[in-house]
Amino acid sequence: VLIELPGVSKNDIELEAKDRSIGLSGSKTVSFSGRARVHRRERVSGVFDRTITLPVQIDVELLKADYKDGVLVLFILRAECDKLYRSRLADEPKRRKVP
Amino acid sequence: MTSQELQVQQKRELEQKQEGTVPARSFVSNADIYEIDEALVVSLETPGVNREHADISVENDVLTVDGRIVLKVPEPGPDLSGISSGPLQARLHAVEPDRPAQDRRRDERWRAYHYSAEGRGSEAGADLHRLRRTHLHGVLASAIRGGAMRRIGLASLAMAVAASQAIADPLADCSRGRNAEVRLRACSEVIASSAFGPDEKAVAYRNRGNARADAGRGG
Repeated sequence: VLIELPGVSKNDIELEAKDRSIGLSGSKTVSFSGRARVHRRERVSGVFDRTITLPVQIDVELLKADYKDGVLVLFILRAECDKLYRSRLADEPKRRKVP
Repeated sequence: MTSQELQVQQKRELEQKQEGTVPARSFVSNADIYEIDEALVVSLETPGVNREHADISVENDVLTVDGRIVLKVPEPGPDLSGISSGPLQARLHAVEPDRPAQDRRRDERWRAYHYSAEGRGSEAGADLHRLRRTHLHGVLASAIRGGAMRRIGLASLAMAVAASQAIADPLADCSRGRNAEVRLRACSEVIASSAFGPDEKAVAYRNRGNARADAGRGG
């Protein structure tokens, strides 16, 4: 999951993960130095709160978050109970035909 | 003072006037332009662009920012090639329709910066007017000293990012948002949107009612 949070400090981001959802909250501040004359203002400040639901159960213990250059990258691993089971037909033990 | 709750901002796509060499979607980014005593500061929100991949130059009274979105992932994961690269371009024109005579010298100095940027040697005053840049949390701030760029018109600011972004989920917020206000707004979004079907809207109506009750707003 990639989330763009330009201008948000790492300390101002709070992350919560549970079952199938990730909650992200925090605040963003935009400051100008004391006697600034503003020509154009497009960046906004305030608080944010989002919940993202994922299609799989997540392993909260192995959740990895990396925040750099205004982008938060979350590495989410499937929980054990939601892991895909792969097997090749050839590997399956041969079964006797039922008469 | 209570902080305002931020809304999810959809990126505005830029209308490309010319064909680029890199096939990528381009978006208009947010910019703050303000003047302090010693400099004019241009702050651009450039998430995903790091210090090494942002290049600022000044030519013909235009401040140009070229950058590339490079996301370094801590370990090999899924295919992120669609997200990991893209150009960023920002052009800011200096507009001075009624420049007083005493300001001309400043303008010359500013041009001196322009020459030095192109590697034509240091003109008088060039080193005094270096472009100071800072990069913090995905916001690129350029401080232009000398005050020559008295009035700035934002010509174009483009950021290319991949289509696969983390998409906010109003459905999830509607049912499991952190507080009643978040749920209320998310449910209203679901109800108003044509992207959701009648079943989802029915749930949203119910959740919105509950959220209203929780928020103490009444029916």
